Amino acid sequence: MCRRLDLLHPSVVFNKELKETCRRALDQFLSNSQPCAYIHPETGEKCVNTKTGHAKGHQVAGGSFLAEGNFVDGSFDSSRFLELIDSTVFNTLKAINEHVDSNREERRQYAARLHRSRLKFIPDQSFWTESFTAWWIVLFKKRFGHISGASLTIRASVCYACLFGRPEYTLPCGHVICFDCLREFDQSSSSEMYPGVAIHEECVLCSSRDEREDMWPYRVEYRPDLSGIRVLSLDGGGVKGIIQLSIFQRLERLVGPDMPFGEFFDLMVGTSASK
Amino acid sequence: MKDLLLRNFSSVYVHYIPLDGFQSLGNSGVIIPQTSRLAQRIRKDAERVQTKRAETWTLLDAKQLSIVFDYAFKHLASGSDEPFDFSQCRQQISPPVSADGHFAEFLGRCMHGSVDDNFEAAASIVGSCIVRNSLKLEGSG
Repeated sequence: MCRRLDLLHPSVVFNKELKETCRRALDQFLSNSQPCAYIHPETGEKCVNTKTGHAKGHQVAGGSFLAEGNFVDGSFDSSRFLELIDSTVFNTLKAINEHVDSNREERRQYAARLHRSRLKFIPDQSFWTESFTAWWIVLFKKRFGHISGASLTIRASVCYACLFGRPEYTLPCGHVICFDCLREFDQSSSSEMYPGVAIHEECVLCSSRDEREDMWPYRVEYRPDLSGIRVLSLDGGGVKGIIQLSIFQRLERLVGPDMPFGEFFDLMVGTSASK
Repeated sequence: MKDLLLRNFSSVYVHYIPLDGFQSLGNSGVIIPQTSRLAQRIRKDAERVQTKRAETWTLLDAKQLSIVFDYAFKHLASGSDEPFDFSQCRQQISPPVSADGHFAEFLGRCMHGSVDDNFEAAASIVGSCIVRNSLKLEGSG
């Protein structure tokens, strides 16, 4: 109990190390992603170069030269940003402590619900559907967007729903989330709730479910917590493999069409008998 | 024109590859040496860039190269007048491996072109992710 209280204290959760991580993240963001704040006094054109790509001075999107000069910092307030993170951590932990008892799973579910509502309330949601806003991408999509396989996919090196997990599960809209988020953002109704099955009615990130309606709800089966990996091994090779497969075929026919044996195994291996 | 170019360059070659037969551009005796000269030039430049990248430990692996080609050809196919953004491409081919890199990547996406609108929301998302991660660590600890 003592350990839980310690861990859920804001100063422990958003500790010195994480603050430093956020500071470095902001530096990277400001250097690699934030454009220069220079605006040409006569034409009103904006410089689009980032701090790391400002070697040629101020340039417009078309690449033409605008003016000499170093990178101009915008009005981004890093300290304010860190304060906001700090207050979010504080308020979230306070809400969890007030509304949920010591059940660990419930606390995680509650935090996930809060997180979902925060994602929904991002004022400008357009960035979820644009990998980045270069004009040539818009042109490319207009010309070749209808061809399957020609799409420009959204590359993410991390799960955007938690910023820590490895992106593994691709939702029908193209966003990729990690295994933990797949489970925590499960939207199965109480009647559908089943161990090892997660159902997502809409994308947790962009709230999309209209674009390819036949793909939603997104249903994934995974290995339940207390189960092992089920392996079917067919040894022998040659005609022995065929005999074993024939027996399985007959068993399946006997049991009935609703019980395909393949669905009971996670992995099937064999000597010239299985994939 | 030739004089103007030779003022700045010691030698100038115009390499051209006719799309449909040689027609008035010459015969195989003219075109073949020209094509081989162009091939030699590309090979030489590619080797020079490879050596330079190898020296600075920035050679691309197969996955990165496929991403670069993907972007480069799609940029060409789009017919856009905008120059190819190497800086953007570089960010795509070298994915971040640390938490700060992941946060920076998300912030770059979330606040691209809408810093003021999404400033507070982005901070609250990062804060919320930190709490969720600490709850996860608590569970696994």
